[in-house]
Amino acid sequence: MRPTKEEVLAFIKPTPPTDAELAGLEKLEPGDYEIYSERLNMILTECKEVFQKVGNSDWVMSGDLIVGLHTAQGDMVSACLGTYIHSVTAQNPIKWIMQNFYDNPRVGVHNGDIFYCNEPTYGGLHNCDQLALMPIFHKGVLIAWASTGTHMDETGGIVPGGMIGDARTRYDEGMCLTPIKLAENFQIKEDIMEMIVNMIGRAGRQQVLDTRARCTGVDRLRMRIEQLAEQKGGDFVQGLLRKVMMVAEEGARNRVRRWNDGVYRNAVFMSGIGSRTGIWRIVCTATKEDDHVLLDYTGTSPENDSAFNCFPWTMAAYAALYLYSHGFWDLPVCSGTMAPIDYIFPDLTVISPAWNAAVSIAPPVGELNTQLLPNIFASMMFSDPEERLSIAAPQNQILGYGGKSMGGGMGGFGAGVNQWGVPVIGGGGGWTRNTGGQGARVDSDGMDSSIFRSAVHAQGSDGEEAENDQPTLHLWQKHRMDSGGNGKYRGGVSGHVGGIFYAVHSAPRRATTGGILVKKMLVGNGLFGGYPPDSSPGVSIENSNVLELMAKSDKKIPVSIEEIVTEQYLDGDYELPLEIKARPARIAYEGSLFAGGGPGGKGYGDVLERDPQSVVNDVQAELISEWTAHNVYHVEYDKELWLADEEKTAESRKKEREDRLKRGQPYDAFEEEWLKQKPADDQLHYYGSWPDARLVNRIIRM
Amino acid sequence: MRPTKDEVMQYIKPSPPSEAELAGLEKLEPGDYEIYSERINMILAEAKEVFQRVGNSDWVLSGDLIVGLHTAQGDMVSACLGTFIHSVTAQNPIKWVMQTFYNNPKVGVHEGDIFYCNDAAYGGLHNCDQLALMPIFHEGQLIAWASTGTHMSETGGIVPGGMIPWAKTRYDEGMCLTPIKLAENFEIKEDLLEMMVNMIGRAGRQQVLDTRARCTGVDRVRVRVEQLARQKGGDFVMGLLRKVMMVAEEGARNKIRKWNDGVYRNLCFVSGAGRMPGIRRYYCTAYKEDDHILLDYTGTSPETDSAFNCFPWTMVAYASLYMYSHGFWDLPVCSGTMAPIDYIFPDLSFISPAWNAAISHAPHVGENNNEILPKIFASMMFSDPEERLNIAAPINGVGGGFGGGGMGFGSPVNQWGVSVVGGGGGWSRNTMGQGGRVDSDGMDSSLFRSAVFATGSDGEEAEVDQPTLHIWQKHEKDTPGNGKYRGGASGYVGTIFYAVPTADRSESYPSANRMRGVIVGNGLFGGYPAINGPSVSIENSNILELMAKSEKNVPTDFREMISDKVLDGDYMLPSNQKYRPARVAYAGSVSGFGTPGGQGYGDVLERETQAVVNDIRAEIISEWTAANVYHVAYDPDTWIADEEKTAELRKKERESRLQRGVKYDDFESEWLKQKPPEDQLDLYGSWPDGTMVNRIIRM
Repeated sequence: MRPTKEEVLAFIKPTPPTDAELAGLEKLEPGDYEIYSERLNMILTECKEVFQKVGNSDWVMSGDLIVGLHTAQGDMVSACLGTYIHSVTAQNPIKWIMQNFYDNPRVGVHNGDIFYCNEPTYGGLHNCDQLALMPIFHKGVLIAWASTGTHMDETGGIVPGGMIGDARTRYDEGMCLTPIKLAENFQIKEDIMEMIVNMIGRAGRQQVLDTRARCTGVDRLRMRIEQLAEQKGGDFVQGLLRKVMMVAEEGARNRVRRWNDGVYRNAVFMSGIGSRTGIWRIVCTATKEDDHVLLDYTGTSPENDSAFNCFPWTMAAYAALYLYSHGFWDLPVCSGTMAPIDYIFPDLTVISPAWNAAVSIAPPVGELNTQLLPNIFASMMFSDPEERLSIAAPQNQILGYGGKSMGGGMGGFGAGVNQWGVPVIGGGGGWTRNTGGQGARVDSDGMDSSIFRSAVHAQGSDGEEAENDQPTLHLWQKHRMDSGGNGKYRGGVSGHVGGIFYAVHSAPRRATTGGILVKKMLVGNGLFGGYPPDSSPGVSIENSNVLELMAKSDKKIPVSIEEIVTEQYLDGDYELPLEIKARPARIAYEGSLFAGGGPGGKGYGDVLERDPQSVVNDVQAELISEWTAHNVYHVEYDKELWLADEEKTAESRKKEREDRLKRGQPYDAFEEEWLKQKPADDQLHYYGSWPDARLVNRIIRM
Repeated sequence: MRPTKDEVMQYIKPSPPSEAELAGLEKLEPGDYEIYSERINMILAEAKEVFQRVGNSDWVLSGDLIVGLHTAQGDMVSACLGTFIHSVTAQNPIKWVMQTFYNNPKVGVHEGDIFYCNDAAYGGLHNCDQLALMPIFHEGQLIAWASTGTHMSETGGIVPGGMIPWAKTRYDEGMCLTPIKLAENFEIKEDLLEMMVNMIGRAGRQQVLDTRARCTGVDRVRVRVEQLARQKGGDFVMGLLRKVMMVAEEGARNKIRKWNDGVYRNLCFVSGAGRMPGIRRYYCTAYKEDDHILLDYTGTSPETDSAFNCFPWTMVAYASLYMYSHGFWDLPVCSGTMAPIDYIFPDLSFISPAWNAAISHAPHVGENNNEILPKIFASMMFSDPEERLNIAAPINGVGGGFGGGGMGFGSPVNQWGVSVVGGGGGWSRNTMGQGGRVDSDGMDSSLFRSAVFATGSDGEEAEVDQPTLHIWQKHEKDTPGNGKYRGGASGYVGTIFYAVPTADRSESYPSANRMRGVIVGNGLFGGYPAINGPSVSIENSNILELMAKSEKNVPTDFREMISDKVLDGDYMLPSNQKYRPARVAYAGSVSGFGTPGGQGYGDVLERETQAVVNDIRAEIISEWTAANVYHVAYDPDTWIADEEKTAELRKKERESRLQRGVKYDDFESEWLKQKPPEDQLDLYGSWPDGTMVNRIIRM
């Protein structure tokens, strides 16, 4: 039976210790915890390395994955990862298995089993994310579980690519596996593998290779933990795992206690769902008291009939991602660490939809938590000088309108075969996705072209590697000027890339709706006066003549999006960022070109407080434009020596401060005017009632 | 690896006998074949009974299913069934399992295993049809396989109901299982059952119950065949199964030899695919020589980007349905019987589309083989007085209303609070009219063209299963094709959505119905085609209030619904189709629909006059039809035909036919100038030869 939402939300909380764990705790000598918890981390690191080297997709190779070690009951104890989000969700199917199959003689949990699943209603994020789960035994006793998880670009849904913005129900989204036994007696069942590969018919090879990689990863972890148990005893291992959870929870509670009690609020708005426009919001009220934080999302807009919904545990996963990256950065990735945080998710909202909702875009929905929480926790933590260092502005949520910012190669141009004759689906783990700009920090700029907001430890792929994997030739791969959010500390600029569809004659390209408006509005804000970043445009030119021009050594080949758009030097069928039109399925030919970038990070603090020489250095490094230096930062400098003119800058900034005062108005006057504002009615369809966002239209899902 | 089309087409042919089978043949004493082949039939009849009683859906209850016994290599040997179509397709996954898994230590084929599948690309019809397959062992040796199969009304596709006209690729159609081991050591793996139930989330209970019924059915065959092997030996059983195949093939070849050699052609046109209007055609040329027939479908229109496509083996399945119902009616349901028939299917036509095509409407596509083949084989068989008796006009290929019950109004829960998906096996589907025969009328409200032995459900039974109240359930007047022997009239039904306050109803597209705009196929030897029964629905009507007030004018047929409009509500009339978005329908919504009548046989003017009068009296035909089609006069008081006046009227009609007629050459020269409107040719291919014009891009 499918678990209820309440059951899954209980799964993410630490299970009480078992007798075996309590007995195991007694076996730990002084120093054992310190030594062997580190041993666990080293084991996990080895397994992540193995998983990453065995796998095939750019998701695996980039490290956008997790290898997790769990207690026998399923609690996450520690993980080595590129993304924190699965640390919450990998627990859920294990706990469901323990509840449903462990004592069931028709399934059971045995040495050599590997379970496999990707079903969000059973506690996953979205069905792109496939998990392998392997029980670990010592002398016949279940002592732990291993998990490996990563994204797969294809799900066998109604269109290629897995994340299907306009999916209306779960039935549009393809394969959803409840936990099934993929392997028994240490052997993968080839009938089940055939079934899975057939369901993922557009990219069977990717599916097989990454599935085997997930299995290899959990098996390596099993082997190492068995070795540890042979050395120290199974009860020792069980006690150790529980100890990690206990220490983690204690650490988290101590940490939370240092933050200011209070009630904190933030809201974030999105500008559409699927290919339709209209705003909706997520509201969060955090109540912090002593060692406990309650995140209450009451006031969030209703569920909708697109795939822009997510289940509550997705929001919890992104809360974990935020906290492990900031307030809890030095604590174990463990269910104990997240234990002090509780949640209220109002039913039938976009973050707690009906079970049959489409949720394949759940990660971009959950990612909005990383827009909401930075402001909330920054306010909570700011007064403590040490904790304050964990503060940063959000990374940008915007994918770059034009929607071609992701992946490399085939992804932009549809499905089909790559230059090696293998059916592949792209659109996922390329360089640009993993090179968003980091949000500016309390004491320094965000890193440039550094991270993917959902997988902060994943890395951007190498250009040549991408060209080997997908039928692509890179025109450029670099930082994008002016994409960082400005502020006292600037958000990191994003990576952007120009690629040519290359080495394959043609590929079918699916119908496009021009559904790019959803990305048109900036989501979230900078921190403490910092500015949001630029929304990076995406461009494509189908069937361009760029290859012919290159063959002729033409000098005017564009090397940035701006050049493509403004000069339009290439011939071909342009899709420009602001052009919204539907196009039917069609064939795209070699030489088609696309360009896009990931989002920049948001700014921190007032731009007028930024060190003038830093601004000049940014101009020199082509991270910001002269225009920005002049009009945003109000910095003057010597263009030959690249030296800031402190005096002139001070003058210019003084003037700007005076202008600000003139432009400003008292808060009461602002608020009174503000409360009269209302978005256009045709943009409120998905919002709920205005302004309180209650359910207005019932969603009928068939 | 997914089998190629050529591999699957090879699966449907008998495999050569194995050494074990040849050795087993030696064990058969005189009389053994006659006794034990009948024993097999009795075993299969028992297993069918078990399957039917254990299952839950109206498909199973109606008997629209198969229980098959196969050789160790997978050849179908004999079956007890309501539908012949699975007799072809049940073999394919077994042969694939033998080829792929039998010698694979990571899967293997063991005692107590049950394999389960529904993927059309692996040799099935469409993914509504789920099969359970169980190997049968004797003393450790694989001696046979058992199969059970039936339709499931839900697949987890983009809309409820499994058969999704506007599906664009296979990925719109929901769960497709390659053969997986659902059971091991005689136990169903509950993790896999959970997986399936989750995929069929709209109707989990139906899925569980019918899956278990399929498993129960194959297991009963296994038990009985094992018993037989214990009595007579495993080699005996293997020899016996091969013997059935050999006798069947010999019988089929002897029969074919009696038919006239020659080249025969027929075609049929259908209108629309999914949301799109437009005609498509099937084209079949049969080459008959000695004991062999080649059916060549060259000239058939290209594949479509709807679910109106089928794989070649679906066409074979429907060829076998036709043959087992007519020319081969007394031969075993067996791969040997169909061995003398070969096929040519042009690649990328809608009867041989790309592997990733949507094909959930494959049965409707394949059923039209039953419009094409009757004329071809009637022409082949007519000159032999005994064979001639197998001839009948087609059952109409037009899909009228389907299913029964309130779930015609959508999902999700019935009056017992259980999630169900209806739209399948109700009374009206299984009560089409039979085609007119060479010596008698087709039976009225008698059969489903895809499952000729399935029975119509009882009204009360349907009301228990689905949130429905029946207003009527009867023969529909004037639905038969007229002729010397008329086709059977079809059943039709009027129901009220009842006992559940509301249901969610999915969007509807006008041209999804427009496919029924033309009548498919023809009568035989001058018989007329049947009428296309209209469907009507009135959402949110006030009928329950009127009934509570004992209103006398509550309609009892379509005509009354349409012409009198006594009821208030939101009418959806056959002639007034428009797009409607997903919506909520309330209790009291009414739906009236029927299935097609059978086509007619022979000239209407040769119909016995009293038979015409009797039909009026029985309300099978109208007075108008008697006067204007049959040209019969009668005494309305005594219901007796006036032979003399009739002879006069018919003489006059024959003369006026001569006046209306043109010489064949004139007709042809005029006919060849005709062309359908361009906007109706999108799906057809090039005019007039039907070759591919537009490439389909499937993502």
